[in-house]
Amino acid sequence: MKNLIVAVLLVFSIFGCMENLPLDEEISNYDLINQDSVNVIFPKDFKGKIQVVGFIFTNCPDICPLTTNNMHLIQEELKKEKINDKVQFLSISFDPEIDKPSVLKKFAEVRNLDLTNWQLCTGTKPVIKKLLDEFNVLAVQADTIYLPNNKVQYYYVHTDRISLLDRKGNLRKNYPGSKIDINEILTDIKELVDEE
Amino acid sequence: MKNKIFLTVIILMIITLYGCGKEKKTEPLDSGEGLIIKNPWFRPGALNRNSALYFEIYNNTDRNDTLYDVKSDLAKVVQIHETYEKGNNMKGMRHVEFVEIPARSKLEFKPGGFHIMLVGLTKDLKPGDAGEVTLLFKGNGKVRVRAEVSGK
Repeated sequence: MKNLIVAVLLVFSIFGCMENLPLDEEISNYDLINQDSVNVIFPKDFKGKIQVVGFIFTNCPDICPLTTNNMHLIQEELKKEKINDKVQFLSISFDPEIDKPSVLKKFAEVRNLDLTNWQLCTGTKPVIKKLLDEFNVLAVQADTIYLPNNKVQYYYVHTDRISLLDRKGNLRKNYPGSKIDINEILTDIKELVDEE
Repeated sequence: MKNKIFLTVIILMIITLYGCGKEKKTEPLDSGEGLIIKNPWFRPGALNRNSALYFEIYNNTDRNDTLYDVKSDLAKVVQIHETYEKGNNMKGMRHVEFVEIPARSKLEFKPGGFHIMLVGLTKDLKPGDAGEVTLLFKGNGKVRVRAEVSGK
């Protein structure tokens, strides 16, 4: 019985010590291009700000719009908290063949996204592949639809992901993008705001 | 040996037939009459890109019904789709041939689940815009649905 109590206390103490932000991984720099066809180096160009990064492809009708909408909701909450200027939002497409800058721009436009502190980026195939590997995001071409003009549209089976980077550009936490707990990431962002 | 092969073939046929239609997650109803579509909304989408339509189907009849097709001028291809989980926090999407709605039940087409997929939009769908689709049911025939584009 004593052993059981000790074990239970041990488990509770371990969980009690678990940090909100379990990761602290340095991220390599990647040459990307944004919705305005401006070259950006991610995460270097955004260091100094906390970064909320969503992984999407614009032909995705269901999961990626959920992720994007969740990022929009986070942005709106940060505005209320008056800390929106401390955060940079990035939507990174893993479908560089389709998601050219003009496509990303239109994707943002029809959703009325506030691009004040939000960029939608893509890159060359090899760069995007390396970036996905580093973030442990999988995106595999799967189902296809044949359009009347014989063009093929393909879809991805992909990791559902929003990632949080601190002001140094280090990866601190991953969340399920389409089902993220908005309050959880807001708490985490505030913790990062308070970090030195 | 022949019996084993025969049995295997039968099992495979059952699995294949079962896999053709999608299992529906339905809820029992409390009131209403007929087959009703409620709370429809489109996702925003750009010309030549994609969108999705969501709604609730209330089958307030004593007969099961089947949604088997969708028509609309809003897109080049319109299909019934579902989002599925592939494990390890992976998500995918696939075409579904039909969806059954049991008698006296409600079925939701909602984000992360069943949706009407609009591929290759014929115009921009921006928040506040409206559009129409026609749902084809085996029992209740054509049901026209008019919906607005949400900001979501």
